[in-house]
Amino acid sequence: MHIPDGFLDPWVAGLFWLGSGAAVGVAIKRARDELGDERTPLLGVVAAGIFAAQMLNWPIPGGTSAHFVGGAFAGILLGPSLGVLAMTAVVAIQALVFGDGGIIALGANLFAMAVVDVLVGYALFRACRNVHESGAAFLAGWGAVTLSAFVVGVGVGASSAFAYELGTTVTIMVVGHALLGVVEGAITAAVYGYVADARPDLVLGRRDDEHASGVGL
Amino acid sequence: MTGALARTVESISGALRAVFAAEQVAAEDGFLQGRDPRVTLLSLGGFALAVMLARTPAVSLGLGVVTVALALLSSVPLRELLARSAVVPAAAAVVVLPQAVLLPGDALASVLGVAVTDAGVAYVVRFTLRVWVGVALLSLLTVTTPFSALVAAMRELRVPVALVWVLAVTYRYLFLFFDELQRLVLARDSRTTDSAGARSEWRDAKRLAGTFLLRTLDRGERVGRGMRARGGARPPSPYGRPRAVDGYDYALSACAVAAVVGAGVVRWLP
Repeated sequence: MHIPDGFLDPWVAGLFWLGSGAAVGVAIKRARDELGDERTPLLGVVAAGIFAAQMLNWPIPGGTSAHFVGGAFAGILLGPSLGVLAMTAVVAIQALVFGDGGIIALGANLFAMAVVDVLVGYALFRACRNVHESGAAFLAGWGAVTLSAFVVGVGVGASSAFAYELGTTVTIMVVGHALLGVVEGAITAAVYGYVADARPDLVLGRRDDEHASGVGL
Repeated sequence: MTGALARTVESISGALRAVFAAEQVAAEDGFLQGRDPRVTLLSLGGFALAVMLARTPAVSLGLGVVTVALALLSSVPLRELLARSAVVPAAAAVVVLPQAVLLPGDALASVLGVAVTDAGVAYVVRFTLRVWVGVALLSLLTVTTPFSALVAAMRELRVPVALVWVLAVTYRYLFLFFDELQRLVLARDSRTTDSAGARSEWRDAKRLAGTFLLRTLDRGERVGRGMRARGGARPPSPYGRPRAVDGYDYALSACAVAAVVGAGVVRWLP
């Protein structure tokens, strides 16, 4: 889902920078309120864990494998603010260390994978967890990836540099990721189930304060 | 080792190889390695912006030449640069290839009764070139500037300190967790005597990911407790590294500004 430099028009990239900058700014403020100045950096330990977990190859039918994106899981585990901050670290390091995405396109990648993915995953899980917890985790993973793909499709389709029409890019991104999202949803539900069974105290909504600052931080 | 899960070790090894190769290049005595990381970050960002503004192949090609020149001046082997920057543009070319017949223009050739147009071919070449230059510029940044220097640059560029700390701590623990995940996968593999079915592999992957994430959270707790035991009031140092900007830094910045202005002028002037 990483957009490289060259796909977006400068004004589209600028809008994405504005959106992700505002969201990350709010997330930083709320994270400092929740964790304090001293403990906020420890969020990086969890972010590094999510990054490493993305390397795990999950078998899927047809002899191939898929990777975990983890935005929805970060939202479920850490809550929206800390989740956005953790995934911001993951996406920024993917770009600046491993060369995934682009320099100017980093704002768009942050917006899709660190903001939309986390917030949609969190919102869907929160809305549905009283009906069925694992189902809510699945829906969060699937919906988050699909909506992130929608955002990428809109960004790329709105750019004159990319010759395909908006309708085409959105359709291809959404349909493709709605299918791939089934795997992300299944991984999110599987990992959520395991963590919730082993450490129910860590899971959002299972503690009185509803804050994620208990996640080792 | 067999199965998708076992290939995780190869994925991690591949990622680590790329990082170690970049560290070797970053340790060379080259042009970009000698620049202030703030200047490198902003200048390469400026060149990338110029590429995004470019609409003519000549401008994209010119920026490609600048990228290659910077690589040569910085002792970055061209093979390394190409290896890092070839896959994405190749995929981008495949994505936009249908435009060679979809865009209206003069017919250059006919393939299976469909006319390949000059405007279509020009677009495919231009788009692929601009994506390549963009990816190559990011590759140059990653191989010439260590992440610790970029973190220090972000701090000096007034990126919020909380975010800089989170980035620094994420990077600090990343390789430790890669190692931990690799050991978990190897341990699982040593316990597996025959090739497992997809269902069993999925079950193993679920247990492995869950165990790994629990260990991650546990380590977070221990790091937090250790920090509090040491007083807890002092945040980790985000790589403070004051540095003087020299004439070469100003020259690189001026080139980046000229590239942005030049690409804009060529694009918007009639």
